[in-house]
Amino acid sequence: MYGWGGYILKAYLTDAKVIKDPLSLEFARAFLGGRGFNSKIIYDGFDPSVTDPFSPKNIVAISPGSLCGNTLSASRICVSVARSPVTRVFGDGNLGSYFGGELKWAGYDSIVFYGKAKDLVYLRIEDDRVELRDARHLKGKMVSETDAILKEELGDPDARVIAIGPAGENQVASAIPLELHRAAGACGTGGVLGSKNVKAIVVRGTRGSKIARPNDLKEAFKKVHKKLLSGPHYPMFSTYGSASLLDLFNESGMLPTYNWQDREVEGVEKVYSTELKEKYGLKMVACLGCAVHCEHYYVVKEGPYATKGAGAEYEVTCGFGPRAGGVKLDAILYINTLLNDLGLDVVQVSNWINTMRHWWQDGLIDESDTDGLVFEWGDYDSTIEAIRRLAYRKGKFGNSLAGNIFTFARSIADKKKIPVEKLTRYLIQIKGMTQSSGDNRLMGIGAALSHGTSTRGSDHLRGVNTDIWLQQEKAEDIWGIPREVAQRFLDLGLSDMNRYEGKEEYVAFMEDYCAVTDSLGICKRHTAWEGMGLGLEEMAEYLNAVTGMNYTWKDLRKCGTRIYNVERAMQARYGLRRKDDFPPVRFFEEPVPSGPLKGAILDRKKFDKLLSAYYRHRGWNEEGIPLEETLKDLGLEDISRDLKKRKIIQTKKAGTR
Amino acid sequence: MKIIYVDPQKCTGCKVCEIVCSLFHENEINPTKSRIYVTSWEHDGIDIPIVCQQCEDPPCEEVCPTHAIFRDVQTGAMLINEAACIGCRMCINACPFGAPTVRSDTGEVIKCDLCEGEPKCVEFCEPKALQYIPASKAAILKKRTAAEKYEELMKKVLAPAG
Repeated sequence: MYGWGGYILKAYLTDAKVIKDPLSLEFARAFLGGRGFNSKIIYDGFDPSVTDPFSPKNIVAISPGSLCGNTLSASRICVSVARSPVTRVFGDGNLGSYFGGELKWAGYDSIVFYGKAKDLVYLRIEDDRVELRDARHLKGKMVSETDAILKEELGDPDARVIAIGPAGENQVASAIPLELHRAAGACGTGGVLGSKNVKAIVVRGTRGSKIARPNDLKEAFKKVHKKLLSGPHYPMFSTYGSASLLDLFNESGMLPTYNWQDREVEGVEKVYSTELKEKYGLKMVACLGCAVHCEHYYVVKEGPYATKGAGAEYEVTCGFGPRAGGVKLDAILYINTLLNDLGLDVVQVSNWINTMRHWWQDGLIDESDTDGLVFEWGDYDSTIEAIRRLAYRKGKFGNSLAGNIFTFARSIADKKKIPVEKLTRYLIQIKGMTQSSGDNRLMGIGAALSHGTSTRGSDHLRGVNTDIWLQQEKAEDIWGIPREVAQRFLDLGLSDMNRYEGKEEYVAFMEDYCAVTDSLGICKRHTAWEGMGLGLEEMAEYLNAVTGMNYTWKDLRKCGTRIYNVERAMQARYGLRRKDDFPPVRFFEEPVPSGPLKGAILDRKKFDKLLSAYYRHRGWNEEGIPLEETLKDLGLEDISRDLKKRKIIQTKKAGTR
Repeated sequence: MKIIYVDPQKCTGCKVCEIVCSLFHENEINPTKSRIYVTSWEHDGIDIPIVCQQCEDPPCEEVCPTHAIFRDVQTGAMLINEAACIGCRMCINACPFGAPTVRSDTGEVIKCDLCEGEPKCVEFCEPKALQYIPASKAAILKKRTAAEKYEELMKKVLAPAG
């Protein structure tokens, strides 16, 4: 078998046993790797009647994309859980890093954790040697400490470590695992690992990857690499990272400030990426095999916020900057390192804290609800203290928030005898997952729909990030999308960002596309998702050279459709329906108040109609559940049988109620 | 004669060099069989690629008991005559950089051969942490890089007031 490592590791924690299961080629071909593997493994292995995310019956699957360790531009690993403490349904997080390649070089395509270890353990993998080891000495250690200790113990600085921090150990809902400063953000997979007493995984692989058609791969390297470097956004991302989006969004009136209430914040230039690079950036760093190197390695040399670390993405500079009504860059970098070390998700935590500021502003909470902490806009020291209390579940407030922002909202609602919706409507969230720093009113209707229908809750990474990439006159100017598809989008008039009609085709295409990139391990920043040139055709070229197979881009897309339907069926099994596919309520009710895009708002009627069109296009029913023939066409008869048995499936034709 | 000039300040730690080196030499992807190696201290943001410098006076050649190491007159690269190599690894011991590598599978010693004058690691190194330039120019480049740090300062000092 070329390309894939050939084995799935199944760690049965309760019995302290790890089994190596040979990977079936048929399974590999259909689900590719990474997210595709995880979603199917979890669908098949989990009993949805288990509702507690921290039950030993929950499952965690960690899989590198199938191109990890095989090609350039592929370093991403998917971490998935059957029940997320953030969304209470299936969820996952992706991290680009070095771990994925190393795991493949050791010969493995997936690690699945079942049960619960008696005490804190870590999984150690050195080629054929795989064992669960005592991790009690790592209890309470930060992610960076854990990384250093395990490399020292293994006696190999080139070993790769994924670890949870104190927040994961304390089962905080927004906890995540990281490889040092590269985070598997979203969906709180860290707390689930913590509930299973898994502190870390350390891997060293020296077997490498055998390549089916090495000469084809050499050619593909030359061609695709060149295309990547000539991409229109390459200079911006490789020089200033995603932090540059803040500058760009501010100048185009798209920057959310004060928890999406406004477009402006005084002194915003202080958190520009140019400022970051000049004042604190030491150099740019990259994930394995990546020429985009979009992360800053930063150092704040002195003062109360002295720190060092890497990343500093737009999500942190905006989430703890303009969205928090503040512009103190050194404090933001301090927070970034702190969150990474504690093992907390930047997007969830920033949203939770900024929503509290918003409640505070409107007089819905005060010091009596927060153990004396103040939640003013632009304040940093209380934020840092709140983050610590959250990670360690300190006090009544810290413990309540650690349960989830909804748990906290409920406790406040009960206390004040107000309906909980009065509080939760402030949250920019879908399916329980709070949103990254885009705005569904401004990034195009495709992006709004895509955030809504995302299989893991509000998400810019699950499909369309922004419709802006289609704003072209000629199909050849739309990067990363097969020419005929791009032409069809233009023919449908989709270059108009604010058009509703026809956007279902674009969204479905990009959702499948992202399912493919997440399963191959290709970074989205190299693809059409970011208006860049590593498209499905190039991915197929890579995959064929590596595995010796003959995928066309259409075959790849079908794999994406299959994976998306597995996830959709899984969420249907948990009870998610049409009502869960709508963008945040505020985007339908509050027009953008200022700036060049003043007045922008979503139209509920039009959105509802678009949603129906999308379901029809997908071959799902009016509640968004895949139809029997849709599943059969994708070779998912087993899932169709399961949904039927549970009386969830419909056999009627698409578009009927 | 050209050499692979390394500028660690530009290295992003991506290891593209290791990936392409093993692919173009071994037809597989395996950093443990790469002729170039990136030493990383990720906690401190430091990455230093280590690769044979094709020394003027190579200790590897001198120490080799079977005279298996010789200079390619075309490229100036120090090459290993595999038939003569007995795998004693003395070349690695003698090299101040530890630049030659022991293959993880066969135990054979391998080293950078400059890809017959077109080093693939350099071709794919986008940040230009690796450059293939004449040895004499490398020294100048090093001086320039060092001088750049003072450039800004000097500009400020020399700038007319106001």
